[in-house]
Amino acid sequence: MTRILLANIDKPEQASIVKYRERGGYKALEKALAMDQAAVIEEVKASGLRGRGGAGFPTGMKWSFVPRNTGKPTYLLCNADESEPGTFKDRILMERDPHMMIEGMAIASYALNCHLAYIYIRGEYEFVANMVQKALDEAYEAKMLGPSVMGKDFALDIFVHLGQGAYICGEETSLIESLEGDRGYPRIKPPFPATHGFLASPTVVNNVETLCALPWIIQNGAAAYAAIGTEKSKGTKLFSVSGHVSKPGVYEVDLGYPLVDFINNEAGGVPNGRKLKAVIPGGSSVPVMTAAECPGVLLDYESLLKAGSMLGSGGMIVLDETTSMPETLSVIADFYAHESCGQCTPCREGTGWAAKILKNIVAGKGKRSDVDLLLKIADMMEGKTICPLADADVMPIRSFVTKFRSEFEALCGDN
Amino acid sequence: MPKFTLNGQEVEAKPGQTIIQAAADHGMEIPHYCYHPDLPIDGNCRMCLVEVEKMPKLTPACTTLVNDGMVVRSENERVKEAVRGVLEFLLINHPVDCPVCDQAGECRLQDYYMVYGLHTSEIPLGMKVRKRKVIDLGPMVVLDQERCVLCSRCIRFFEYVTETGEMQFFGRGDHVAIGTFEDRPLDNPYSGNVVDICPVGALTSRDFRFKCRVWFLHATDSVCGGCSTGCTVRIDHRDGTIFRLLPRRNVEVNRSWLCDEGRLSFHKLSDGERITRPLVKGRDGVQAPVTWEEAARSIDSRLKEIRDTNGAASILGFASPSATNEALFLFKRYLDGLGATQFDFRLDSEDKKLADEEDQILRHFDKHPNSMGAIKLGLMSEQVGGIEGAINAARAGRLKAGVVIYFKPLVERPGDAEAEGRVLALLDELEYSVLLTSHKADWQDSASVVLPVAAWSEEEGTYTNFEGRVQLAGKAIEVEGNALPVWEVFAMLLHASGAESPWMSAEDVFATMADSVSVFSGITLDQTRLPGVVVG
Amino acid sequence: MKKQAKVIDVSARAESESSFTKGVLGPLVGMGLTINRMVDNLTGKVNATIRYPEERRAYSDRYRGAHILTAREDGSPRCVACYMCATACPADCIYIEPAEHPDPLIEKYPARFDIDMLRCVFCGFCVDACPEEAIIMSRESELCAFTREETMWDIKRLMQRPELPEFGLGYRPNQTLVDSTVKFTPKEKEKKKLAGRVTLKEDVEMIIHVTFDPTKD
Repeated sequence: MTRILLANIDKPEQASIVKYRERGGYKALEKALAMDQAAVIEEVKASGLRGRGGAGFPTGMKWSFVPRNTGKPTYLLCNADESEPGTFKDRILMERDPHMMIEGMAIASYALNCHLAYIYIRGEYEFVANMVQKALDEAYEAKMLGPSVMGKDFALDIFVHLGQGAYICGEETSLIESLEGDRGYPRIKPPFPATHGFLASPTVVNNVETLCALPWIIQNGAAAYAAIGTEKSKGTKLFSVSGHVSKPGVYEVDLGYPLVDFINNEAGGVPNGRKLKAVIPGGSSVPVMTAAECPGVLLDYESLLKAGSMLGSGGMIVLDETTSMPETLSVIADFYAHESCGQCTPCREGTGWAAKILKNIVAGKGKRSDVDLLLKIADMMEGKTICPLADADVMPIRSFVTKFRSEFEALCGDN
Repeated sequence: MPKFTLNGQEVEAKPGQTIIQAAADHGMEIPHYCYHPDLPIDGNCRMCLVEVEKMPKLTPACTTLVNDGMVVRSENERVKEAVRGVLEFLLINHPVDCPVCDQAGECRLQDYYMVYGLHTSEIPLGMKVRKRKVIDLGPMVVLDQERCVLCSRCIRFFEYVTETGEMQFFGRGDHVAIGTFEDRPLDNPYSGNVVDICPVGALTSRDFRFKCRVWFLHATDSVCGGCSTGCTVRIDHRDGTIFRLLPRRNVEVNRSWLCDEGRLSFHKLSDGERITRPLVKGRDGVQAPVTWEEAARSIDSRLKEIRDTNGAASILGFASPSATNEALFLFKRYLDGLGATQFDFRLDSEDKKLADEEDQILRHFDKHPNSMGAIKLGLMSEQVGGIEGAINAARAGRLKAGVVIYFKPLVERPGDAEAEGRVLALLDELEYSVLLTSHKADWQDSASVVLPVAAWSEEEGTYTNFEGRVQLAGKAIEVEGNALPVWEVFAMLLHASGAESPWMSAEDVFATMADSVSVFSGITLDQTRLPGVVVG
Repeated sequence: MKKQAKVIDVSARAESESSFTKGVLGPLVGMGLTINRMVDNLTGKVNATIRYPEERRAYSDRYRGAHILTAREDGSPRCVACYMCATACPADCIYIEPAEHPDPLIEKYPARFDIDMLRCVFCGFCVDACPEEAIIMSRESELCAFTREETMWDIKRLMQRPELPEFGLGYRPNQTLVDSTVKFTPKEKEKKKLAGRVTLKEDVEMIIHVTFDPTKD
């Protein structure tokens, strides 16, 4: 198993620039700065790296959409608004190895000819933001950032921006709105951020994990990265495992690793001799998989999609047989109702309504017809909003209700 | 010109138009709440979802640009189901308090429910999200957060039209509500517009509140009499009472907006008593009611007498910039017939332009709707030099008689009392004065003859705004008592003087005016309807 | 080809209609029936009339008599001055003047609510139109007055129904949805100290809650 992102995560004082450089840090940046900008993009394209924030869009392709010579500056925004329930991988990276992210950002900025980059960190991660800021100060001092990066004719400034506690600001366009100082409302696409993003300028928004993979790719070459993983899902991916496992935490595995093996070997299996009931493989917004569906499924974008779920952000939640699925769904639905920004009608009203119905069902006050009503609400919400938050609510609702319908109906009794 | 197919029909769109705009141009309304032709597009209500071939998801018609060869369907089952769903979502937390809501009858929620909804509510009453009701937002607006569909039209209006940004969303999820910071009152001069653009009953008018249910109202197309901008308005009235003024969309003048002063200007009409009969001063110096025929005969003979003794230059014609073009035209024609040469209409001197009464949106410093019409009809002569010049001339004995039309301005401003004082001074100084006015005033005794005339909204006629745009204003309500429209008074005087007087309506007068006044030549009454016609 | 018109011989028809059976026997048969009924009535076998007003017929539950404005628990009118009744009224006999209610949940109430009982055609449309079940009808039909003014019933008269126990409730929604009451003060001298109300929600037959007013003997 290759360790790319977590290679040095447990080593002492990795967060300091001195130790980071001792262990080979900022070599990739040096190498990249010696390369042509277009060559860096080509290298990333060739590596097959895909966005690790959840959507899985090829990073190199995203970069190539950014128009050149528009007369406007290009911005790089690092999306560190990690808010998906069950996901805590970016936090580890930023806490333990912030320079890897900074180096990745510098490489990306160089490739995009961007001179101003922001790290948008969720408000709840204030302590993480402080650590990142400290690392940035060190990087400035060591001339890794500033008017002349590593002595080359390339200027780059990176700022940390703390979010105000909205899940929706992890969506790239609302992240941009929030950064601009407006309400974090997702924008209608098109125009895409690649052409009209932050301050109506070309903008690239990348996840922390995506950016952290860049130094390794530049250092070891695209071919080495592409050799890892499956044909379409290349490289390694961080999974943050929580729930009913013996060893919850963040793990790095090659894409294409079997799901069951991952739960049993890496995460230590379901404790207390209980049986596995269900797995949410990619954060609370992806469809749940029953234990019966898990065998044979590989941890990569395609295999999980084929199994009816998604890789998402890699926030795996493991549920054992004692779990009440209606209660779990109620918690998830509550989250989305609370985090809906309220811009589009279907999401604003639908998430709240579904959450209330679920609360009623869990409290034993539900009716049998409510179960169908939930599915109807899911149909009414799906695909009708500006951003995918409504769909993020629809997927768990629909998968929980269809796969565990009897549990919901049992709670409703004969009402 | 991109062409696309809308519901099986080949339709042409202008470049850069979205589907909803192109459809509206062809008379097809796609249901919507947040889209407004005069506001930037937001795309949040999701009511205008349509099916576009080769697009996997339904797409909002308000944000999707028309492409050549696009195939759009807005009336199939899939779209209807989606629209019904959105409507159901909008209604789950809506209080459905139509009985007490002033919007009932012109509410988009009601309209679309009858077309797309007709479903039974599946949410129990106790589950609805409750928000605040009856929030006082200043002199024009009352806010009910529960009824709001959060379309952000009001927010965008204040952000992009007035650029004052008073309103914003608060909270998130299904608890989002609109409002102002700490319920501060909306005190900008255009706040009433948000009531019009609110598609539901969230923002209702403080002035119109509970006054009348909208289905009892009759609408008359008119032009605002509040200032020289000449915003096209709709007068909503019932049984001879005006209840509200609403802007009529006119892209060339006021788009969809109307200022608060103009919106409330109709209240001035019911302020004060009306004169109901012509009054002529007898030998005893007391005004006594007479019939119109008696009044016309006495005025005509007296004016001719003065002309014959003192010359035609001693007769002043002092018009009102609030009278219609037709009124001013016959006024001039009658006095021209007497040989009079002294005309003016200026109640204020030029330097009375007050900055705070004008802005770049709609409000004009000149609070009279037809100053430009008076100028175009040749009613401004440097010889007279405004009302002050006329007073001085009368004092010096150069002016002996005068025919004065005076209307109280519909929009109040600080100099009004002084202007009225100047009219009084003029009447006092003139040996013989004929005053045409609509409302009683304690100074009208100074006039030798007082003729009651129809005020704004009581007669049909055209007004010429500051840029020379001639627009038609309809007659909404009947005049009180024996009052007559101004044009009819002069038609009567022309008849009394033995001249031809063939006009039966303001329309006839307009036709004659278009024939005989070069500025208005060639325009027809139809041209003066939306958006009006600009004359040289 | 044009169809030939049927020719009616008028004199032949007149002949047949003045035949003996039709002209003489027919009226006699009818007369016999009338006499039969008369005998039945006189002997008391059947009785078509009653001794009104001492006797009264039981009117239908849906009888459309004088209107009642129902009340909330606190005694204020349920009406929210929505003008639905006035809009539906074919006789144009309802006059409403709304006012602002201090409670934002009620928001609007009628400062004036007049029904011109002489204009009213008792069609019941107002009851059908009312979204608040604020206007219902009673079985009260004896509406006499000495002056024109008395026939204009104001909100107080429409809410306080002294004759209610005598006549009962009339036309009203089949299924009562909102909790409303009708207040009344019995008219009869001996019942003067009684005051009560009818709760519509439980109203299958008229249930009268009687409360004693201790201040009155």
